[in-house]
Amino acid sequence: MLIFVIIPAYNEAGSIGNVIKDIRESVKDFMLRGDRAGVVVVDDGSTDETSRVAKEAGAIVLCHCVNRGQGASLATATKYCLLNNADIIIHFDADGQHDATDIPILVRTLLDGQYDIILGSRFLGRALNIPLFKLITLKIAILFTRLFSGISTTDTHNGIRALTKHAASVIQLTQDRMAHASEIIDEIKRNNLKFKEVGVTIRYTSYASQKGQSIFNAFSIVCDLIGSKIQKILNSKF
Amino acid sequence: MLTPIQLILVIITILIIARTIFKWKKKELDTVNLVLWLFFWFCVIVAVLYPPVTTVVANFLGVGRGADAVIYFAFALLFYLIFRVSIRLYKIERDITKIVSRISLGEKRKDE
Repeated sequence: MLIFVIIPAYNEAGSIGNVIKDIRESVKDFMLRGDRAGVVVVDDGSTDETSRVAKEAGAIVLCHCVNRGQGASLATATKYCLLNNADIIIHFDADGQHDATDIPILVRTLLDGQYDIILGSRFLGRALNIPLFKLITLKIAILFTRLFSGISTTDTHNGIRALTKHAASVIQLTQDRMAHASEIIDEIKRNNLKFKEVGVTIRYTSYASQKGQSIFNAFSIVCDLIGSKIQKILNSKF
Repeated sequence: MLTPIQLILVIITILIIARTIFKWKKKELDTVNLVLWLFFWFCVIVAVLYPPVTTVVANFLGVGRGADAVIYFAFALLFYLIFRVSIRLYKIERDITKIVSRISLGEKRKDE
């Protein structure tokens, strides 16, 4: 079995090294049992040392020559993994918010329950030091996704997920930026994928806060969601 | 006798028409769009030189004044153009992403 952990990264030189190290540590058990695992970082047009740090930490690095967003980076990395015969693909954030020890739990749940996709949920797990405005925006996003996708989840905009090869190949990501998260939920419904939410830990560290957890950033998620729905309607009609 | 505003508008419109024809000659504009734009700017010149024409059109459409009809029409046209530009922009964004993604995967393959 081949597991790839994919990390979209934009100017994350400060955190990416430790994130990769933690991930490599967390998949050791699988490797001891004869499975293979790799970390794929998409350097999404960074102007800092993200690529160099990621390579030195042992990751496979794909470079976007200009910044295209998290959704676009996930799409590029997914293509790479599928071309290299991945069996399981994990989505993971670069800013150190996620806990790498959640990865084996996601993989085991995926395999044991024969699911197509496992979604990490901070509201079933732990959201440490979550800022109030972030909490409110996330709740609005959850409500919005529930209304438009008809799928009930407890956490829409969580970047940690585990997908089988089948799920990764049928999910078509067209939203380049933050709205890809709700697009994945739409795609689960469209493709009738079997999914489950698993509690994970999200840490709102001071580094992550510096990386743009502003009120504008939080509200831009909702604007992006509304924009993406309008775009999709326009695209399908014209 | 032309008023200054009529003169300015006519000159600007003629310049735009010249530019439109120039773009068509350079094949940056197709013939259908050329005809549509020329027709539009011709209507603008007629409306500028003979403002009562707009009142005739307005009355025919059931709008009170000619100036109102022009504004309604201008708004509708502007919204349509913004709509077209946003669709085009969305497609261009998608295409850029496809190209960037392909380049990154191609470079990786070369490295390996």
